[in-house]
Amino acid sequence: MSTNEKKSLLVSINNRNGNNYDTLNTITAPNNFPLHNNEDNLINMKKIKKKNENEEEKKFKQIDPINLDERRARGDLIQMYNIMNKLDRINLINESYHYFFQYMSSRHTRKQTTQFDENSDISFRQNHSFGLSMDDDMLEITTDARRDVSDLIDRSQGSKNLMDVPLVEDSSLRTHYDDFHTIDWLKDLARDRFRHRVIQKRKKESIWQTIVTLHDSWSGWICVLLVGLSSGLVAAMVDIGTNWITNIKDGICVNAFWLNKPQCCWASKNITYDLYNNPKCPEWFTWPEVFNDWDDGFGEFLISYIFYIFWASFFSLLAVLLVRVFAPYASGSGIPEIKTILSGFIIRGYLGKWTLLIKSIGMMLSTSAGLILGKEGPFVHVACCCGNIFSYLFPKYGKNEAKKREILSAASAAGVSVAFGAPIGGILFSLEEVSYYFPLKTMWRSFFCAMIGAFVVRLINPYGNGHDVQFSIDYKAPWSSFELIPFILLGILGGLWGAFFIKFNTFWSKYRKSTALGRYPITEVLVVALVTALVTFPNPYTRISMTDLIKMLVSQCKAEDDSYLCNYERNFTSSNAKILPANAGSGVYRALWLLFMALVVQIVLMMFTIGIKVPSGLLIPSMSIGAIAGRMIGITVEQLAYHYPKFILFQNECSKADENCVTPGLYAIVGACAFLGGATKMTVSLVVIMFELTGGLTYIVPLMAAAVTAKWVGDAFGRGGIYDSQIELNGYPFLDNKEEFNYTTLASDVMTPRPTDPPLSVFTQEGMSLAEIEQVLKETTYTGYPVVVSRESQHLVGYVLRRDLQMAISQQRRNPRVSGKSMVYFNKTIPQNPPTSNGALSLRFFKLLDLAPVTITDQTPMETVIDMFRKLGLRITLVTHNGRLLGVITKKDVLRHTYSINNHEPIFN
Amino acid sequence: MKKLISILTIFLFCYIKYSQAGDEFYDFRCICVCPSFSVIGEEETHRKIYIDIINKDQCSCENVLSKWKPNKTEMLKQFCPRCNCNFEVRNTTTMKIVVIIIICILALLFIYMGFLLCLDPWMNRRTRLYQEQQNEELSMTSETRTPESDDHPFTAIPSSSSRSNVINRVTQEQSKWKRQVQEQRRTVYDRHVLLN
Repeated sequence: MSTNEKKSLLVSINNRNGNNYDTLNTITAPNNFPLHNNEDNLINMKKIKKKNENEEEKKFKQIDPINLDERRARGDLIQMYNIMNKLDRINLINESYHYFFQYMSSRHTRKQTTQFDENSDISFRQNHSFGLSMDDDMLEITTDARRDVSDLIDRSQGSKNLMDVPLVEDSSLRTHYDDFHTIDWLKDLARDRFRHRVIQKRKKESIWQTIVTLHDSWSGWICVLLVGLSSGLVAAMVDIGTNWITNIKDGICVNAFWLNKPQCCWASKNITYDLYNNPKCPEWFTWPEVFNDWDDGFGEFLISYIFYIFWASFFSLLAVLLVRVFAPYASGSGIPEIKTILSGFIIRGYLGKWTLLIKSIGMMLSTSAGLILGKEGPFVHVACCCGNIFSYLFPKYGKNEAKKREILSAASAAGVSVAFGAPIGGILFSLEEVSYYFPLKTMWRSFFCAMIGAFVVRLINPYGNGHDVQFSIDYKAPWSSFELIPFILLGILGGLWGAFFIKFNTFWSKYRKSTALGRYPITEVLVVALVTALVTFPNPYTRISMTDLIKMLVSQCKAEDDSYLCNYERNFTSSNAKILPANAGSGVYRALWLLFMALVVQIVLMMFTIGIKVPSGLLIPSMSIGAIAGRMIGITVEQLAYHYPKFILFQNECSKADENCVTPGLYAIVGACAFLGGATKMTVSLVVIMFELTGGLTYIVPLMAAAVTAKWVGDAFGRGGIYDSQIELNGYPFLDNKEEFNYTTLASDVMTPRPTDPPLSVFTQEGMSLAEIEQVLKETTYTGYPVVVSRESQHLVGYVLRRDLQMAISQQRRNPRVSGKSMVYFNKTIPQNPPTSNGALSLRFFKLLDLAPVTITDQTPMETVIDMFRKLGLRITLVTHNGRLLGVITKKDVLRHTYSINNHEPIFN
Repeated sequence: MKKLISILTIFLFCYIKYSQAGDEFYDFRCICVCPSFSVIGEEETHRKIYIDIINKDQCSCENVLSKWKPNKTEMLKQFCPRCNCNFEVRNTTTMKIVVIIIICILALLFIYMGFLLCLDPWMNRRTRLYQEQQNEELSMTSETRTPESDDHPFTAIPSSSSRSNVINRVTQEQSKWKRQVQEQRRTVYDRHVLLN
């Protein structure tokens, strides 16, 4: 052995030209620590940590950047980060096992404790053996550290000291996950804590570093501020655009084409309202009026009909083409996918710029086409796109998938907030429906984000009605206790409808997926749009947009209202007079009949519409159907109470002459709540959204009664809302937090390999050549490989990620001394006589190795395993028996298992 | 993209300047909601909402309704307490800007879509045929294409002039984006893995 063996060989790999190797002699500082074997680890650990820090700080100070050349300083920085990296690993072990103790049964505690000791011992030894001497032929793999803190940290920790490879140039690979992979929450959060510690540590070095620290700590708030601003802006624009395009189907405001019909007639002196409350004024030209001065008659009707159908088909065709050509991911509502993404799944491009643009434009077009779908659900997707795009401005979030999901949770809250003008409802929606990991910090950010979004929408005022919300009601009529009976009836109806809708929609989606229908998405959209236009035009209640319909149904009949729906035998002597119960005129019955037709038409069309390949949400259609049903029941109850005031239910509260006793508009609100609750199975967030949406704070109890009844009835027919059933249908890897797993299987029943399978592909910690490893990498596509002591003993050493290995190998292959015959070592001790046959350089991949993979024993019940996956957010766990590796369980194995137990087919692979 | 945005803004400004001249749509109104005239024994007019463009300090029932019932001050004095008058303002400028932006975006997307659907395949037919053949071979040899193998950041040889370099990069970006969309299309429409 040469004299060089006292010094470690540090090769810094320059990523530009790939063959510029520098040899650096570095100080072997932590070498002088006494070796420890097994006792008093914790105390020693602390000591050594302190000592290490001191030494490193000293060393760091010793280096004078002026005297030493830059490369040398870099080398020392590298060492420092390496050490911190390892310190972090110890902490990580501490933290992860802390969680373990919480979730593992006491039976396992002892075992884990011993394992903990062993493990910390390993990392411990690794710690003080750092910088040990090495043979000339060994190549230590390390990073070419950069000055940029965030860069450096991300790489040094992200894939264990080997990230600075030429792939940095590729902007599409921002994080180290591939498309359709699940993320490792534990590792990602640990990475963020490490990054945070480094920044905190460097805080006092200079003013610049202090600013960096400050920026780091408030970047989350800045990010959600930007997300709130942008999603509010997009939502307001989409609202204005939708209102305008919707009215284009009817006619045009000739002198100011950018105004929609209500705004066109807003200042008209000659405004009149027809019997369905549609405004009419000379400034607004319907299409027959534009081309010819038709008088009221069949000709005018026909021309309007033709124009309506033409525009509806044109808008839907444009929407489906835009989606197909520019961003296929923009179709659908997006909430199931957002749920899956938030639970830790990667879908590349799903939250991209093009998806944002096309979804915004597409939902304007598809809603305006008169299809039975809404734009409120897709707003969640749009806001999440904003969240994703802005998170790239802050490397803290853009480069860490687990942290990014905190921003996305806040963004989804802003989505609902801007869609309905319901900020608190948005936060609760994010908490109840979409988010998976929702710490308090995220809640505060969601709060802020939702507030900003709602504020921007209010500032732009897209509804033009001076209200922040869409369906504001202006009455505060009290409700009587007997009315709970019809409210609960509405809840039951909503639950039944929800269950039926979920069943049918799932069936139809399956049909679409498996038959020829799925091959003609454009034709399908066109046919649906044509049929919708043909069917909805003759009925004035379906001809207007669904938001207008809901607005009309939830409002009260006031003095100025002459429409059929308000055709009561009342005589208003003043516009401020009380609205008293009255006998319904013939117009009300006509309106009821038309509303019933509208109900049937909307129910049938919605079944076929939700799921077509345009941006489509189901919140507004559900609410519309519910509001129709609610108003109908409301009018019925009102008339019953009017005609039979002495009936036992009504006699207490409706027998007084001058009191308004039943408000049909309230029934429409409750109905909307019940039907939406039946479809989505939301409760708390739904009620909050509903009262924020209408401003009816007095009606919380009726809303709650309806929502909970709808949920009960719906749950009796099938668990989970429409979003859960869509997740199940598509087979997304979504591990539901809410469901319980109630089976007695063990880890050994689930793990791969199954008894019939070929054995697990593992690496041994020494004795494998580079060619063998490359062969394994070529033959298999696993994301990671366990490393064992030897094939005979199968004792577990650690876990290495495929991606890290590939990068390391591709980097090392540039060195002419590395060939297929190079031996690869995963251990830290150096074999005494490394077989340096034919001069090939040996490689040591020790630093790629994750020495603390989460392990369980083969006898662990699956209930515990699933809890671990759910609560820790694991990606993979290794199954051992007496310390010997038996197999692995991945998140997808767990999902496949639950699917197979519940008799579903998993579609993911 | 930047060029496009600047053109758009210039267009917008010109348009707003031009259109503000002939704006007959006022941003304020006085709206009165009244019961039917029959409550005071007058003949029914079926009009219950009265709108007039008058200033805020003049927004009263008498002023508004006198246009419909001129020379009947006495009657209006009796009738007006039953009415409810409000002065309202609005802002249509945001609507104008937003609608124009939306029309521009839609037009651009429509044109670009037309280009992608019609002109582009016609122009690149030969190259595409060749590429498809290659792609097929590629997919036959390796089922799973990892992103690393897809993108070779160093394969593009930097050309002599900076201008062509920019064009190169733009085309590269575009082809990369096209490939991504192609992949998305396959996922959604052909394999039906996502979004059903």
